[in-house]
Amino acid sequence: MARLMSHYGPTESTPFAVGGPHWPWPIAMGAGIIVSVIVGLILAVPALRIRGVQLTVVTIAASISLYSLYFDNPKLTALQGGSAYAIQPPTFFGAKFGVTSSSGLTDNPRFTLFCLLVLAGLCVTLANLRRGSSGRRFLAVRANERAAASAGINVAKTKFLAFGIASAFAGIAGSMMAFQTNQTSAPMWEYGVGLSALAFCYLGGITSINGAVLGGMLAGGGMIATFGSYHSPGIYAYTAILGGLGMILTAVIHPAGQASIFQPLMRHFGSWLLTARGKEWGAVFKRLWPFLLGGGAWGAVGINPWRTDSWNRGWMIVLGILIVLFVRNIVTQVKAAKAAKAVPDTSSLQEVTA
Amino acid sequence: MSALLETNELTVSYGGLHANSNVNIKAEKGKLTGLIGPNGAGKTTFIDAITGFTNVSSGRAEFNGKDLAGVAPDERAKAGLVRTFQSLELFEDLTVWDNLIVMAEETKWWSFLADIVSPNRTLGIEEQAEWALNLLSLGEHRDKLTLDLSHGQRKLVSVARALAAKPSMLLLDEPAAGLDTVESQQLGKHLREILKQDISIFLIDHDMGLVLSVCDYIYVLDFGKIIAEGTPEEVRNNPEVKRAYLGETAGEMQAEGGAAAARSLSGEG
Repeated sequence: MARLMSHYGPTESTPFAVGGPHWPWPIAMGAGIIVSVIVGLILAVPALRIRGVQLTVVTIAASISLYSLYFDNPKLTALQGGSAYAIQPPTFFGAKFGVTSSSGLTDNPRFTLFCLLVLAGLCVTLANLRRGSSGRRFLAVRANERAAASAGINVAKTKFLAFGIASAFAGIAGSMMAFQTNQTSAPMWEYGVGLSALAFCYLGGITSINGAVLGGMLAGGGMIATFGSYHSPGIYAYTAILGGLGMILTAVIHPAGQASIFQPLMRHFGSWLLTARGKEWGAVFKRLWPFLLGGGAWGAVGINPWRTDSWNRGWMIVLGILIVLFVRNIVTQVKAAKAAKAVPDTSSLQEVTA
Repeated sequence: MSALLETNELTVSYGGLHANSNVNIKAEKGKLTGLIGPNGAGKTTFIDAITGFTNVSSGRAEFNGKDLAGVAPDERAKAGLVRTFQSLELFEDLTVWDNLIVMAEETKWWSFLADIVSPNRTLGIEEQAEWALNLLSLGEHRDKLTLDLSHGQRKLVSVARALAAKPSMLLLDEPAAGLDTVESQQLGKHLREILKQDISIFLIDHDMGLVLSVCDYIYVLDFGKIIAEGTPEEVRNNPEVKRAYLGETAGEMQAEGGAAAARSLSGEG
């Protein structure tokens, strides 16, 4: 699903959100999603006959023709040659949630909140679909179409549903991208952009939600790239190179994607959060306070001494703490793995001899 | 008495090759009907034709009095005609339990919206799946991925999966292949138990011991044609069957050797 999402994401978006009809943003966004779903369903027709690499080639070809046919076609849009439509920023009951803040810089924390809410909503939706009957049917059709048909599953309908849902997600992603950049132009939806999104999704981990989130963080303009540019401005130019290198390494070392490495950490932390009370929190603070203090101090003075925009130093402290804890976790995991290797597990042997 | 499953002059051809020619079979309700035949006799082709996985060249097949022509495989399964596969074809990304549930659940167009709100809602099919799981003693493997099971266990999962749909007729394609003698006897017992649940069975297998011991009525297929039919006793004593399947004298086998080799070369299966 992450693959489909990334793949269609940039090709279809909110063509009506802009210049032309001047619709309110929720209607424009809704129209964008509906158009996206329609295009996705049309692309699902070849998927009824083919799958795997062949299907990928067909969808890439479709996104190339869609680009020339619609986005870069002067008869249909005014987007040709990179000219852009302005996007109406989102507002809720008068509160501005657009990316541009009152200072004129693109640093409105409310937009981050908006993005987080949309992301959380999509993650929950996707997780529930995966756990429910639809997810079972998707996996059944993916595993074995013959057996799925013999299980009374309508294979064609299931594929249409999967493409429809993926396209709706892509439509939302496209709208969010338009909000992020405050405008939309043809090159934003070029097939190459889609391929790069696909590559980052693969890097993160295909078929897992964590993978999609991680891929999004790694992608150009994502959190990790942005953070990297704080430290060494100009790293943007290398995002694609680093991404490509990472992809080759992923394919060789960890074909399932990077997210699977973090899966145990996420699971552990999630269940801890659900059960932890005051005592547990206290114990953790006692153990981790040097890291919290050190990370916070580094965040305050180390990460961002030269930023001139209105970013609050407080955020940098939080970021510093998070990074230090993250690195600490990786170190502990590596140590634990080494210790487990050094001491061979004799418990099963003892059971047998007993 | 009208049969639950009936074929009338059913013929399946691949080019010039008649995999099934003019097959007439009746499988009664509440009975265990068997189909045996040597390798390449066209047994699996017959199941494929009945369940819609291969095209019927001529003749017709009826299930529950309705013509099956033009009915899609998933529609046939929903109508109660459920099969297993010789090659298992399990859903390997799913747990044993999910393999059963995906078979049993009925979905509406809005099911995916309900999933978003409440993915773990009760579907009302758990009882049937639980019964199938326990009948085949798979309870302890419930939450394992099918990939992690032995071949014999996977075989049982494929039968349990078919049963979870509460079919009116279960078509089993060589369920005993790959099982040892004890496992195969156990399967025979399970089959008689399944019959009591108002599920009729159509069994294809190589295991003569199993087929002769559990079936009520048996058809024998050779070179795509029915060469004999009757009760297990009648089939056991049929000279034609003995010659084609159960055993031949050494001299006859040598004479037939060339023909058998030619058959295996032609790739009939």
